[in-house]
Amino acid sequence: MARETGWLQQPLKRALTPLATRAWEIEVTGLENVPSSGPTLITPNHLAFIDSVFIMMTMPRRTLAVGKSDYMDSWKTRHFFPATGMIPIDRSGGAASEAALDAAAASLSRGDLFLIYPEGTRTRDGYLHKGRTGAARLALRTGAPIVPVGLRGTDRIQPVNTTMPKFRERAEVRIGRPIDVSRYRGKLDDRLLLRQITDEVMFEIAELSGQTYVNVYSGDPLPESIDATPATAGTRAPQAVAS
Amino acid sequence: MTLVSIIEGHRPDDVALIEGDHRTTYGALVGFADETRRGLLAAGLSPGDRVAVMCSNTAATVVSLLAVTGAGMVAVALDPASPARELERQLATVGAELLLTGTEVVDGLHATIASPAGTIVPGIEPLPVGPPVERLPVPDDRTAVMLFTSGTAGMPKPAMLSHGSLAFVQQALIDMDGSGLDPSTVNLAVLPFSHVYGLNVSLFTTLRAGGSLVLMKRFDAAGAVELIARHGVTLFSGVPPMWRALLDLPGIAPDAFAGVNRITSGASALPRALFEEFRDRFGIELSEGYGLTETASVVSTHVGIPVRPGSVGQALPGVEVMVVDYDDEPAPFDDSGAIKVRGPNVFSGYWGDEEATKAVLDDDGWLRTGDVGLMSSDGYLYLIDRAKDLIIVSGFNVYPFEVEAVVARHPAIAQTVVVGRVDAQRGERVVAYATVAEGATAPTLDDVVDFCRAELARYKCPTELHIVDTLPIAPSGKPIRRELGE
Repeated sequence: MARETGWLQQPLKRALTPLATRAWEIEVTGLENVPSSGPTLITPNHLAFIDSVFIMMTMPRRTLAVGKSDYMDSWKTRHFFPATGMIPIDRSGGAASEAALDAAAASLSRGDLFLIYPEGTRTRDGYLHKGRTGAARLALRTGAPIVPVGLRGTDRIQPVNTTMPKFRERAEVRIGRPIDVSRYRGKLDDRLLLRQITDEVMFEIAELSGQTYVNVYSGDPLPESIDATPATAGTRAPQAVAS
Repeated sequence: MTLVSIIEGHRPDDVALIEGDHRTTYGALVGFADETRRGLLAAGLSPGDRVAVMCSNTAATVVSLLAVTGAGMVAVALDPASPARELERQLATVGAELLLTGTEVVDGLHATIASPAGTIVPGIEPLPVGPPVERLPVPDDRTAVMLFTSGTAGMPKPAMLSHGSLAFVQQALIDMDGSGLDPSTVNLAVLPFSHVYGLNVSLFTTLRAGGSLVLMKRFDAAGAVELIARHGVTLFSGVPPMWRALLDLPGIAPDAFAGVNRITSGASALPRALFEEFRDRFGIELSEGYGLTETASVVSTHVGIPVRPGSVGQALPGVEVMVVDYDDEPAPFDDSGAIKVRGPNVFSGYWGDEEATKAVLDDDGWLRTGDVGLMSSDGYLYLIDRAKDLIIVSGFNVYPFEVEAVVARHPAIAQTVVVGRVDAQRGERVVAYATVAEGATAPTLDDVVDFCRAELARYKCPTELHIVDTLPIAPSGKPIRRELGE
């Protein structure tokens, strides 16, 4: 019989947390902002693959997430990732990702805490990129508050294109105040609604992560007006991208 | 087709224009236009000459516009409400040979233009009577009309609209399912003919359909209601401040617009709350469309499709609308971007200003409208704001319209205009100018921010509030942000 998604998470957490706290200096702030029960969306910026591990270890509750379906290709990951709490999502778009969002909505409706990276993928240039609207959709569907999270330093622990994490680095998990989307309920047929909510979430993430925001989806080419060299958190002037 | 031919081929006894108690039939209108055309030629003017027409909503204006374009000359539509100095500048810009004023003479203007270039002012100096002259065909791409763009974006520039582009829009509107445009149409023409919306949508399209126009020189709510009832108006185009005025009119019957098939709203954004209030009160859904002077009036319309509040409808058949990203690539559906338009409705350029033309019109015929919007997957266009009004706070887009819609609902605020100001830390910040509601005490910035926080992300809330006595808002309802300085 198939086991419940995320069944392995608590044992892993118990095993990994003492190791992690020895390996890295992890500062967590704002933990009181995570509701202790009920459907909740956790929306961090995404710097490194290891982000999910940090979030999972930090959260006071079981954390479910959606993940790349190609992680599910081998039998190991097909069993391992769901056990840690991951629901596959096909990022090529279309019906498959709708199905994954449906699965996420169902899990939220059961009162779970759900992790979504609004940028969709890790940042390659250090900027915080334009958010995808999935979290906003889920929040409107299920009434779950969206908790913005700013991760700092996980890119030093696991730089782009490396698999082995570096030890003795410092990371921060800054958890912001939940955004209650119920105040948008009266505007449900407003076309801009999903963008408004998503941008509000991204703004709060930017404040927490210290990244410079660019109004460009992760993976799309940056406009020429923006300096393409990797940005150091909080050191750059705002970049204007009108669209 | 020649613009003047829109009045031909209708039943001569059908009424074209109703001005006060006076009715002008199509037969009479054809005669007046021809007589005036001959007068223009007898005055020594030639095809291609610019003839300015002082456009008030009168029969004389209609005759003048048709006569000038019928003679192959270019009718330059002027707004009599403009200050004399601005009119002088406009006349000089286009090199007008003649000014037809009809019955409208602007104080102070006549003295300054009477002598140069042999200007003749009918009513002061009537046009000569000319012998019958056959009307020559005019190529479709010849400029028929020049209109000064509304002026919310820099100095007004004369936009050239060809016979073909005007005709394309008229025919496209008439051909749409449920357009309601036929000889039985009675259109309340209250939008100024000096504006492309009043000129091509209201005036020319109705004439082309063979309908009647009830001419109203200046809008007032009570007068409009009276004219609608008296003449059995079936169509009515207007701007959001008119809907507000009608809602505020005491004693107006809920069935005041029962005989009206469609009311279209344009020229400035229609606030959602206003749409709903109007619908709930009068049982009619305002049909919002979108267009520019540079597109001979219409880009998108709700004619023939279900009204979707907040949307400006779908692209006029034959017109391409594209929403593009910063890199000029099409934006995904429901994602905001710059609106581009291509089609036979697009203008030929700004008169004598190649640089300004190139700035908006590319080699492939795409017009950069300067507006930001988004497209739904089923082709409904949503307008968000003017691109140049966009405020960018820490990299995030803030549309003034979105902020204004919320600030204006604060009970102590009557009207508001929101602008961006340079901010050392965040790039720009949101600054609100507001007038205080009657009988209310001026709110503080904190009051307003507290109110806004219920609906807006915090970076969208104003960081400065200036209480003022008046705000620069055009009669169409469009804020003129540049007048708020830097």
